Amino acid sequence: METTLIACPINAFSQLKYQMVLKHREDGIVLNSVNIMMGEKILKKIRKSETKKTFVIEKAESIALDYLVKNLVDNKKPKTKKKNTKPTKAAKQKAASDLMKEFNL
Amino acid sequence: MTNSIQLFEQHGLVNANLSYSEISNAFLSTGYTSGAGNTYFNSVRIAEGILIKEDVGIAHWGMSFLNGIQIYAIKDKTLIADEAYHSLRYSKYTVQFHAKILLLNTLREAAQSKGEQLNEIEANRVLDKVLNQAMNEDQRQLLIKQSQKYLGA
Repeated sequence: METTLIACPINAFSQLKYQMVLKHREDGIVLNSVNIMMGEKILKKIRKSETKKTFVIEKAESIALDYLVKNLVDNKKPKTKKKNTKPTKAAKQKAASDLMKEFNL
Repeated sequence: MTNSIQLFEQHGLVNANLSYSEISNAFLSTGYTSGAGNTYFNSVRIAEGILIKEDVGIAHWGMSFLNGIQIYAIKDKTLIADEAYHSLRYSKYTVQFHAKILLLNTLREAAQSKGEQLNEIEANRVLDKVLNQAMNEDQRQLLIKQSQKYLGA
């Protein structure tokens, strides 16, 4: 039997939302955080320390979208090799000591 | 020069295809653009004994940001300092400034671990020289020199 693929109408995922948390300061309103939410549950709180005195509302959408794309959609980023894992404290100190010798310090 | 880049790659100091950019006098990785239109890439600079890797982001409205710095000791092939930044405008002076802070802290800690005190004046002088070299000297020459000195090219 021949197999047929049927593309159904596109549905929006209504439970996925984002929420802005603003900080009202003397010098203006700044963005404090953006919450990525599934229904009422916060999946991720993205903290921001905005220095701009005036807050641009589109920025929150861009932050939320960036997070979702980075974590759910965007697989174009090349996978990094595991080689560059954090060294131990001792290895770091040895390397820094060697560098001090190189620098004659 | 390609052989030297491969040597750095083999030793785990860089992990992406890098190409030299004359405009930035740095080795740049292939960038990737997110769905939101922001572009991310690494910029790598070499100086005496160290490799500085910058995480750079170009926002969709065109402004460049320094998202992080990692500094490796070439001889030991070890990450000795790293820091992430948020909303920090990119310039080579920003990189130089923050790289110096990171290196000073690392050298201070290394000295303290041996029960010594870092000669701050001398350390400042040396780091200024090393970081000026990273920013201003031809990176292609430095890459070859450093790979010959530390990686047996």
